[in-house]
Amino acid sequence: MTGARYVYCLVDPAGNDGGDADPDRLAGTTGLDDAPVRLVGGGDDAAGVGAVVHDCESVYDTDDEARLRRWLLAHQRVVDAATEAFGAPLPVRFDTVIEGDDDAVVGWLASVADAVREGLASVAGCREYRVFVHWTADADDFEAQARESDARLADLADERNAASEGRGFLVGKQYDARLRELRRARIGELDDAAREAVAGVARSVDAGDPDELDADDGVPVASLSVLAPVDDEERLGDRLDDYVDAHPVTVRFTGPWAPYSFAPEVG
Amino acid sequence: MEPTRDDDAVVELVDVLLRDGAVIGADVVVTVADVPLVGISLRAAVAGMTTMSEYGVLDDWDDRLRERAAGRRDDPAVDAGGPSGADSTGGGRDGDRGTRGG
Repeated sequence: MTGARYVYCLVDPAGNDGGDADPDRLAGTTGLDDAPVRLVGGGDDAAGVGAVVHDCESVYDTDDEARLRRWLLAHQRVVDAATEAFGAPLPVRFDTVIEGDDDAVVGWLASVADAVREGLASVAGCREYRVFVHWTADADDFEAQARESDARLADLADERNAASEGRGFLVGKQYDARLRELRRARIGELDDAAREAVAGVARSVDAGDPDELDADDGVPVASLSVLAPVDDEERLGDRLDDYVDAHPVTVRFTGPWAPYSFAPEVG
Repeated sequence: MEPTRDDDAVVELVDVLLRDGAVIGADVVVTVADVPLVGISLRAAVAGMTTMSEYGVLDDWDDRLRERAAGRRDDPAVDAGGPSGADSTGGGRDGDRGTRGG
């Protein structure tokens, strides 16, 4: 392969946040291994869409963890700069390389321009925020409260206490199952409330698997990616404050990021 | 509350970087992270990153990067253009990809 372009993101060169673009915010930005980045396309030959790239010779690969970390950070830094310059971009997956020179990139952009414009419109003015929720209730406290409020659990507790060893073991299993069910229901309630909290502001919400969260902060409840207008960031924070005030949870709120989770398939 | 963008948040984001983002599927594309070799080596490395953040190893990444870049500029013998020869990719690499490095 002779000549290639590493692609960081696709942009509307005129700006995608409702205001004017500020291309100077991209100037001087460097990407992987300090490669200078620039905008390609943006004119009529690219049907009005652009790509932020750097020149390279091949895909990037390494077994060196430290090098990979630097590359990932550099990729994220370039996407950030492109967001500052051009508004909400369509981030491209890490290590996406197009074979050829600028003309090849422009030709490809022209061929996918409709999908790119549609994708850019879907994220216009928005950023991605991530919301991680943990339930902070003490396990013993929950069990005690559940025994008060759930008749079935209370009955099973009584039956277990009164039963002989063998029967008591079996009833104990039923008790544990009921308690687990009540816990799951409670987590479900907290999850629903979290989604409701962000729904009022979000353009789109993508729910990840909360079990991927670590359990240091409590019982994992929700892991949400939220696409929301950057102008509504404060309102989103306020709604999360209200949610935390009303429920036994902790919330970790990160962002603003470029809309990595909301970029559609293109091409 | 206000959103944060600390080191932990960036580390959490990198998995998204590897997994999501607009997926390009055209003949002109050399490869995306669909290539198993790249996917496996990168994902395995990233799996170690979360642990690193717990020990504060992610502090001052950018500073070290700048120092390293300054060091490279001062040493003309060092290839600053891409992965060094020390980076191996194991077996199965497609010879048609040509030179490694960027």
